[in-house]
Amino acid sequence: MLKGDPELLGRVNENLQRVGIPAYTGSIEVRHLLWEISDGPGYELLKQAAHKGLKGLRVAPFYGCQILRPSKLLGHEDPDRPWSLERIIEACGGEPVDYPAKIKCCGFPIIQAREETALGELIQPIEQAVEAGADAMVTPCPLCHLSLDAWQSKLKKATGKDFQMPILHLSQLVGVAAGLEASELMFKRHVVSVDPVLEKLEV
Amino acid sequence: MTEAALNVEARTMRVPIKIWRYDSATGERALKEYVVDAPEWVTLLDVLDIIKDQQDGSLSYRKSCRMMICGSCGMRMDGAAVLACKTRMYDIVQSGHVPVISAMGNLPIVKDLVVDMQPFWDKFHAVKPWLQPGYEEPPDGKEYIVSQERMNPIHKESLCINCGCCVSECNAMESDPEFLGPQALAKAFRFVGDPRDQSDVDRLEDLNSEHGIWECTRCYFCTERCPKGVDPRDSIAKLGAESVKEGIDRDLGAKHAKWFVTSAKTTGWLRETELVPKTQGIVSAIKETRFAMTLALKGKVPPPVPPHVAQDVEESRKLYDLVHEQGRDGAAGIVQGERGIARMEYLHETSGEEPPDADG
Ligand code: SF4
Ligand code: SF4
Ligand code: FES
Repeated sequence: MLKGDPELLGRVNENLQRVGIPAYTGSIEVRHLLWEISDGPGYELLKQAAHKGLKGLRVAPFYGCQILRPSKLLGHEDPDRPWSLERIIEACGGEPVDYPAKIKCCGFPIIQAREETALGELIQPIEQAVEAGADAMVTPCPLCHLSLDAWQSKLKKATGKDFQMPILHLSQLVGVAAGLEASELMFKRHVVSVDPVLEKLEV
Repeated sequence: MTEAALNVEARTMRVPIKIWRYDSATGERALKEYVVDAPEWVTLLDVLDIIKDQQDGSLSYRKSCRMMICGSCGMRMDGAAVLACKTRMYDIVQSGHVPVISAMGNLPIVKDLVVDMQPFWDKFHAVKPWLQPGYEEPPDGKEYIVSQERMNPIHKESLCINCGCCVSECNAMESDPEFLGPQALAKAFRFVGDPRDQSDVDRLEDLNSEHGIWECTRCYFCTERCPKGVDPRDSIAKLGAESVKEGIDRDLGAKHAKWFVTSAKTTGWLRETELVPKTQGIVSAIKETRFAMTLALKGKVPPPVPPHVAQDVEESRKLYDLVHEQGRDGAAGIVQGERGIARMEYLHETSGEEPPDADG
């Protein structure tokens, strides 16, 4: 945005200077972990690192809104037919599970202000992933992780459905496939237990 | 053009396409496949015209202008809302993919690809989409002239053609059909941001209601789908920023948003533990205690005291004050960023050719 508008960049830098912060030069390219390891040299490294594999674990990818849309500003992949998470799951030795809500919103941004509306969104991906026979879901977004994991208890209260779907963050999925210890991956901080996944993988 | 040039037969291609047929009177629903021969330049709308003309006169869809301006022909292709008259078929046919066409989402289907737009128009009217002047009338009945510069902030919102593509995939509306939604809210900013309209505060009050701006879940489907570059999610962000600027901050959503600013100002970080009480107020936060305790027991929240203050928090405070002084808080801050984005898009599409100079 700033790189595209020299005038705005000038104004921002003038303000930064006035409060004593060094000017922004725009020399840093911001890349997401998802993009970094789903393609190119990062993908090759991932394949080497994931030596322990996932033993065909059925994993439902959940992308999160702002890594896909607006695609004109992100541009990594087709926001309606993304492929990067699937590619990573496969490289890790898992089996990607397909379901329509994988590109939709988890409800997190309004989970405090409009809980019912948010839960109406949250239930869709979890329910669909269960129906598609997923052992776990994986997401590259920390906030999706939080709402998918921690708010399942609220879904249970609101709908009576107790999904118990284990939710992994992208880094945890790669960590498991790379043979990191469960303790290093902080699974004890999860609200929904990840044990069924670990048992399946006999970690 | 010479007569010979005009007489060149367009090359044709074979277009396979699937359409979800639906009859609300009988409730019958069926996915039908059609194959037509059509010139290579056809749009999805042209293909539908050929089917209706040559194969099945009962196929129903809306159209009028055929040139992306009337907003009639919104429908879904492979689940994504598009304008049929803007969608070229050539690349799709070349790829070998057979697209599935269906009616737009979030609106009741009347027949085949025709939806009942009444809920859409009801929300549109709810935001009072007309000028409420009240400014001093110029003497001698002369025109009230507004500079281009002052109209630029609502340029994008003015481009809306009421097609409903944004509404079709709005995730918040799917969950709560009463949510005002992207089109109505983008239209609302078109008037809140209009220098001639004098009822901004009343408008913002209304837009801060139960089904107003704070029910938007930031899924960005509206921005992704809009065929006219309105970027409704950004309009909603501008309305939120203007509301807070005007002191309309009673909604949990506004409190939540404000806490990000306060937190950045006081510590330079987002103080997450306090986010719930600051957003919901103490009473409901206590009701949430059991839930919060579960999270805390799992180590999901950092311990609340003392708040960690960033080393150079002074910089963050000064920056905030400076931006405030310059009047760049509220919608203005977002509008200035949009210009940069527009320029980026232009450079991308023209592979680096400088955009023409715009006024203002
Ligand atoms: S960003 Fe908001 S208004 Fe736009 S589609 Fe999503 S929920 Fe609807
Ligand atoms: S904002 Fe865009 S998608 Fe929505 S109705 Fe207007 S033109 Fe159509
Ligand atoms: S027919 Fe008018 S916008 Fe497509």
